[in-house]
Amino acid sequence: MASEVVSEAIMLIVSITLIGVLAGVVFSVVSSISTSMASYATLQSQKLLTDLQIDYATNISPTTVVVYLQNIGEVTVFNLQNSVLYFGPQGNMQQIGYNTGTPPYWTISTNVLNPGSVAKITIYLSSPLTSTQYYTIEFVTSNGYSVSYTFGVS
Amino acid sequence: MGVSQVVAYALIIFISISLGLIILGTYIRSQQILTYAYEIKQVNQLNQLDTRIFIKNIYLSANLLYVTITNNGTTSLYEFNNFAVIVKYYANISNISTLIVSQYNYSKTIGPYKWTTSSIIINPSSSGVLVIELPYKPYPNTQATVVIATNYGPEAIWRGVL
Repeated sequence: MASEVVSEAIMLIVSITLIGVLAGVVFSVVSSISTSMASYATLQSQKLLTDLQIDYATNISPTTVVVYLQNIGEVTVFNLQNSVLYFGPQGNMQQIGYNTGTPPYWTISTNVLNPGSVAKITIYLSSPLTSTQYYTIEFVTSNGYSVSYTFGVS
Repeated sequence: MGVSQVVAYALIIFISISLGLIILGTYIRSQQILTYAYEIKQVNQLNQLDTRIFIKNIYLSANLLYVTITNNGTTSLYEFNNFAVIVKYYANISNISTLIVSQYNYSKTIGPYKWTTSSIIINPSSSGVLVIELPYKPYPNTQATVVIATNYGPEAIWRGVL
């Protein structure tokens, strides 16, 4: 009888210990999944509320183009200098680097764009624009929002 | 069934339910965030679709450009702080035609590179006059472009001779 009680007590302690270890491991995994789900939801909502528009783009010289980018969304867009800019004739666009100092490159008037604000992007080209050609600008933010604009050279 | 087995099963069931509740709670919270974002986006898209402006008339007096816009949509326009006003024109600087492309900021008082309006709100089917102060007088008989973009996004573009 005494030996049964002792063995039952040992089994109880072992069971609780093993369940504790298992619970710790599973809780760690569940916590990681929960954090990922919350982060994904936040990122997706930020992306949904991001809305940009190119109001106007034109060339101010044969090798310089200005672009006015307006935030018409609900959230502030950060790190605009980390965005990707494509520019070129329709069907033949190329990526332009940010502020490399050697044309072609682009610069921006602000790195943070609040709702309702406008940023000025200046694109410096290595070769002159063709007067009869239409050119397209595509601006892709670091969170994946894309906006484009096509204009004719004046 | 021994006591240890009962305790073990009870603990496993309790821990499983707790973890399930944690995942369910996180999932519901995530869906609430996404649903809220979708609702706001839907409202914004409806406002964009319902907004339509048109530049009815442009009148120049010295450095001041008077732009009459009509609200042809069904939204009221009042967030002038969030409008974008861009003017491309040839300025008369020491009798030399000089291209200037610039954005103008909304202000209660007029000044170079600023614009104002006496309207507090431009309701649907009504008009408002935006007064834009150019930094220099335009060079006579040169092409100009005026872009007015609302806070919702839709814009109006005027191209003509100043």
